[in-house]
Amino acid sequence: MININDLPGYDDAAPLLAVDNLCVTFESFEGEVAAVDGVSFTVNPGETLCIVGESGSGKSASQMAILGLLSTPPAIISGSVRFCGIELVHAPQSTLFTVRGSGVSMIFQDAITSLNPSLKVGFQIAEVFCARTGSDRASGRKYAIELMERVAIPDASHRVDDYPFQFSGGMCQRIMIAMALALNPKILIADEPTTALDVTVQRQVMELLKSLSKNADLALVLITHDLGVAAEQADKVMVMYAGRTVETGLTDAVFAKPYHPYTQALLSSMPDVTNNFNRLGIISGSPPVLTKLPEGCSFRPRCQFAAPMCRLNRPQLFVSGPSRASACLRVNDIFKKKSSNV
Amino acid sequence: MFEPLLSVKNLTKSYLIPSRGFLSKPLKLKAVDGVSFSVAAGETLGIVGESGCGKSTLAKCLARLVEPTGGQVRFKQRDFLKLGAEDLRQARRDIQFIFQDPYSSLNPHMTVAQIISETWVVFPDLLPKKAWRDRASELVQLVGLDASDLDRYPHQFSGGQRQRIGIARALASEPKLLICDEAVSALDVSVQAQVVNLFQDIQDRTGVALIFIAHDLTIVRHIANRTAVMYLGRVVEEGPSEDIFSNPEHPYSKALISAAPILDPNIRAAREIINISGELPSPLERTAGCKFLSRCWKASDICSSLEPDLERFASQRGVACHHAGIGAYRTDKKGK
Repeated sequence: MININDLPGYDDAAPLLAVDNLCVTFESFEGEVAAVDGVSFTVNPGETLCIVGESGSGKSASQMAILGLLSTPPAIISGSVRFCGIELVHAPQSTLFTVRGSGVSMIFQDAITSLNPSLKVGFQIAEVFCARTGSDRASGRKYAIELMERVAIPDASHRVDDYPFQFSGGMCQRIMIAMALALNPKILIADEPTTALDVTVQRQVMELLKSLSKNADLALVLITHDLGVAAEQADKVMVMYAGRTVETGLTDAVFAKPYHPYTQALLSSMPDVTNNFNRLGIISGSPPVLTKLPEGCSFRPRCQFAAPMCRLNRPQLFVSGPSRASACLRVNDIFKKKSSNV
Repeated sequence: MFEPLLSVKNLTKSYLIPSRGFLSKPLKLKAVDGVSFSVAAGETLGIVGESGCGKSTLAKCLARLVEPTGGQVRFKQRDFLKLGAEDLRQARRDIQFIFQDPYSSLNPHMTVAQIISETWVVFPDLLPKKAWRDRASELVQLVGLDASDLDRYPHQFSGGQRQRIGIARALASEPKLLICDEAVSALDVSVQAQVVNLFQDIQDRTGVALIFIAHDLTIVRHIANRTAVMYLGRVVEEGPSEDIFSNPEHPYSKALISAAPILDPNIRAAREIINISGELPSPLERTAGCKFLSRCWKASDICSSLEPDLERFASQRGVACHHAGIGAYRTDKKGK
């Protein structure tokens, strides 16, 4: 097995994951569709980054592109993704094979269908481990039990020989996490890991992810549409809309005082379990169709602050405060003036 | 005597599951197990619970899409469960359903106008054929679509718009009760709020009663006047939403509400998370006593021998727990 350290470009000092101007374009009958359009972010060890957005905002596509999971064509990927300095975009398969699993691994929303129904879970968890390290099945099984205990599956030594259908949704998600952890990755990308789960089970999985990131210094990239989950889990948050980043910053700061109309509207449209407004704030219209993006800012048709200048060009992300960035041209007029009045 | 629009007593739906062994008796699965509640006209009842707790089965029983195996449902002062086929068909115009998936619940071969007018095909006495088009265009406007949308097909609409079409269709027969089974959970956050507001507008305008089933606690708290919390086929707590969410009595409701993610960091710091171990046990594994016993941190001897009933106490609250913290309730219990 090739070690990550031996890969060309490996640099200890480089950020764990640095994504720069990542674009994912698909060719379709209606022309080229930019699912992800110039997304940049970095992830440091032990940090949790939450990517928030509605369906079709490009949050999953960007993460799939990072791991090289999109087939090209139809996808056209440009930009740069560096894991510890190793370039992953258009990297040779051997590099990707090495980085996947031992550097970056991923779990998906629907755990039950992501598992192979005809193989025992223990085998599935240990499969990667055995293939990569050349261990035999017996030690693989032992390692699988160890991993299952790590993700708090009760009675692991017996359940290792069960099939996925014998587990509930929450337990299947734990098994997925155990699989993803098999090679001690440095980053775990979790694509809507708790969306299919019930509230109490969601809480258990969230606590598990939190403890893993704290104790194992595992960096998490959490994709979610649930702002509540983002608020509780993330150190940093990145809000996406129509393939672009509209706002980034530290979670509490962004949620306490958003600097983009979309984030603000999204927050006001969320009922909260702790308080009760009479009326939810709404965002009129529906998310844009990517083949027919409006000119200028893509949020403009739904934005209550839209001005003629918003039609002219698509706003870039720019610094709007301490470790924060927003892609709203009117951020100074709308948000900062208001706060100085208060 | 005043009677609520809908009153449900002891409603039960059980399924027989063939057991593995030869000649052994089939197992009984109680999907809905002795549920009682009532809904007044113009009121919204929220039903929350985790998947598999029987909320959807309950909803289907109410419209008799699934025949209940026991109990009583009174709707508009009639015994709904004893209605014959034709009476039931007529009675159903007052109970309409809105389904979770706006993609599969609309016929892709029909235009919006046809989808809405189908109700009047089924109930010809509701509206003369000449008025169909006008009424359909009124309805689509009521749900926030445009009259020009009438001749379009469902695939031309987004998820939120389709859910609106589903709502317009449900309103076509001027129902007294709308049952919304996870009606907003398939929608995007920004669209969810639009549909929730729409339900409130429609209720204000038409006075329709809503039964709002969801697993999303925040939405239920927002929309419902009263909330029922279900666990394994039983209602474990019921009462005004405000009381239930701010001061849950039943250990399960407590855990459920504390598990919901909170946006505000200050409130989040103050709340105490109750982690309940394990997951929903199989409804087949019936044990005597309280169904929440295996996951409850308050469990004591009485819980394993006696299944608590939903007993009502102060301010219309009902709790099915031996350890509910109200003194008067406890002494009552001992007296029995």
